[in-house]
Amino acid sequence: MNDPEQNYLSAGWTVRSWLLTTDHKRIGILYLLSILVFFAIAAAAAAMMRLELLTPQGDLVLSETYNKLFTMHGVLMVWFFLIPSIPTVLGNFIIPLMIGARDVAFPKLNLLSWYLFIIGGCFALHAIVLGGVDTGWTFYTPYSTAYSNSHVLEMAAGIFIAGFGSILTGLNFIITIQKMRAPGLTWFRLPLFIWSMYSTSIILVLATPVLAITLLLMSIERIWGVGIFNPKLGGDPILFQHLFWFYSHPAVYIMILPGLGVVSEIIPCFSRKKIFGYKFVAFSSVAIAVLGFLVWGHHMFVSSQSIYAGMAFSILSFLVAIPSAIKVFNWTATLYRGSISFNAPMLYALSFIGLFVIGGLTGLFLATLAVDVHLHGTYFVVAHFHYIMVGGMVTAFMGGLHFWWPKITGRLYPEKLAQLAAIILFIGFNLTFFPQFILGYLGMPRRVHEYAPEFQLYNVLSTAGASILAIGYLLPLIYFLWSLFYGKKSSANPWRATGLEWKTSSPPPKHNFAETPVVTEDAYEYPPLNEIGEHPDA
Amino acid sequence: MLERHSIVAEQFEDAEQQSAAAHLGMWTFIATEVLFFGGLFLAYTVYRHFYFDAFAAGSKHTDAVYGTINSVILLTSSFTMALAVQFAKIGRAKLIVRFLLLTVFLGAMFLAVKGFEYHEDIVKHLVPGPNFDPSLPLQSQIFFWFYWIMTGLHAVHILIGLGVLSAMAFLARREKFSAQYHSPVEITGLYWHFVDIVWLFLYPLLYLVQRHA
Amino acid sequence: MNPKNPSRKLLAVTWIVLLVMHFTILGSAYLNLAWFNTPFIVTLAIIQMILVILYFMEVRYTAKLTWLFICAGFFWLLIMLTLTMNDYLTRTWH
Repeated sequence: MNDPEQNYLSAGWTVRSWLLTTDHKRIGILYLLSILVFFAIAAAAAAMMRLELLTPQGDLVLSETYNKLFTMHGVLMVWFFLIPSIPTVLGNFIIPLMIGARDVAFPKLNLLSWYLFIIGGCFALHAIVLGGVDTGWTFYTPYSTAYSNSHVLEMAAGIFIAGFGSILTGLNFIITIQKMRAPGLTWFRLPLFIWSMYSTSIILVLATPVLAITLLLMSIERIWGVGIFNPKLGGDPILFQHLFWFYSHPAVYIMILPGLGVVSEIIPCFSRKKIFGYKFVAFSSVAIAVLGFLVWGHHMFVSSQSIYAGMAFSILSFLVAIPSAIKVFNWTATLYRGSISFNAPMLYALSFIGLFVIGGLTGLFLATLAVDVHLHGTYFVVAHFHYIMVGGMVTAFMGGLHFWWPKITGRLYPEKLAQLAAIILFIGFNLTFFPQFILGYLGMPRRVHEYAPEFQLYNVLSTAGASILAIGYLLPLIYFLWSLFYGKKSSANPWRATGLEWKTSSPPPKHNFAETPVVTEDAYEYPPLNEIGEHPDA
Repeated sequence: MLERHSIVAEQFEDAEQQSAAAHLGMWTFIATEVLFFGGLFLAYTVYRHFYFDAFAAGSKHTDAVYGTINSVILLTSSFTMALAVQFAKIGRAKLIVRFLLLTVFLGAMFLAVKGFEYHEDIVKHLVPGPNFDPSLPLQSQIFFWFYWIMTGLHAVHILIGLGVLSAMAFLARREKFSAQYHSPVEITGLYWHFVDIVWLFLYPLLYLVQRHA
Repeated sequence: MNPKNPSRKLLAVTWIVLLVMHFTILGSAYLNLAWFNTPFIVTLAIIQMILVILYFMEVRYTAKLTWLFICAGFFWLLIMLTLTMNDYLTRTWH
């Protein structure tokens, strides 16, 4: 990292130049380091949980402690790792580069977003240190408002503040993409990652405020002792669930759309082929963002909401699966007769497709009202959302990190080791979470630290898988760090990919481009392959 | 004539792009606020549906005089804000300052009236909880819970607005705004008008549930 | 073509109309219009809001993209209200 060229990394070495930066690339790195801290803590909580679940008895931790562990795991993973992940790290770094801009629309607001994230995170961590929260990441009333003796308020404050940061990030991205595209970069020439990020930003901006008001109302009720969620006055606890899930369902689309965008970048590059059905993939991102707001009641099928509402939400939930399926079909068609190379980003992208399909299909099981009556509150749900969030989003995050690592750092990671890590991750992940589908089907409830003895085998398999999964995450941590000092230096475009971000140096200069680029062609204009699927110049 | 005023930040190509971005950004922020208050309006709608009589009974105990005075104050402040924006577009610094400060004054009057009103509400035992007026039905407490929180949250937004308006007045005094550069005043106006719009709905929903006998 | 700004006179007229509407709303609340009271008041409030948006917020003179953003915000609010009330209005118990 001591090359003489001027790039955004060498443009200042002081702590001040990092902590007061308005450079979107540096802010992306600040976020990367921050979310890793939260990931580690949340992963430690998960490790404790999986250790406890090795035996049917509750013998490692008290039940109250277990409640705090799964709450901490959920809160930190959702709000302090997954929701920021791709948007604030890869989105911040790559979006301006991809559209040929010098920075985002509001760089100072971008820095404010990071500080709000950190301050919110401090509140959350402090709440944990003080003794944690035991309500589950879902904070259902009236337990959270009237009966829990844990640090609900402080945790809610942390989430509220961090949420405000994510609203500002979404706002920034919308305006940036809307107003700062390079000349010639029309909407239908944009890379699909941008379509995904724009759609994600719509959700960030419109859903998160509802979380904010919900947390505020919950907190006020808890402090004041009077409120609208307590049946004593005639309040309805289910209203909390409506408000909470109105945000939290779209939030899960925040936690997959960016991943879908990353995969749409990787697949064409490592198939050397234009994406099949560009417009379908682009519009499917918008459709997911919109339809995702219409389905929240599928979390509440057994809550006592009306049966008619349940039916409406069930049908709408089937609809939302369609745009996701469209993406999978288009990726498959892109791969077909492409010139495939199995670099690490591609291995992650291919993993993603398989695991996302399983996660998505099991989502349909849960969307079916009659089936959900049996599966709600079981490990089936846990397996479903981990397949999407971990098998999907985290895998895509890893793929994107590998794909853009040369651009971000100017270094190449060690390819063979990375391919090995991707495979280890895939194996470990499936061993961890597939048994959980079976457990849920057999009836094991979630959020419990002791269980009936007949469930033990699958729990042991799951814990074993978790240890392998951990290796799959530790390896990249190690070799990415290694690559910063000893990795081979990268050219501007090591993957020979299309896209404006590859037209500037690796790492990029502080202002991204020496001259504003002008765009004259569509995205993914890979040269046509000959009859045997090779480049003429390969 | 324009260098002092048209400061185009380095990420933008020109002043027009910067101004368009600022406007769209503020509208996006306003959309988030619509959803933020929207959650409250949703909850209010649900409970008004279930407990209409209790809501009507509670609403009769709000002070329509205070509420009406405040509505007139706030609508007028929107007018003065709109005028301030017009003067910003032609760079008349003194007039911008005058109308911004007038808006601040009216906003402060709104908060003062609200303060008197809150005091009376407390004296009349309209705070939900153990001291709530026992002559009112139990669910009127839910109505007043909304009253305190909705008007309270609204007042917080007014307060923040006063801060931003004052900052704008300060900058206007230093002649920062001109025909070429005035979007900060415009987007401040957008925020202020939004806060006014929230009140346009709060007023009938809280003060006028059922005023006829 | 359309002027780029509302004139100060137009702003004053808007203000007066808003005040008149306000007192109309207030007055109507004291009349017994049965089920019509609430929709009447809400409709007038919505018209007041539209006037503020078009003239005070100058949306009448602004690009169509802004209109799209505004409509989107309200549309989403409508989704939240409609689908939630769909639950409450179809509960056959209480």
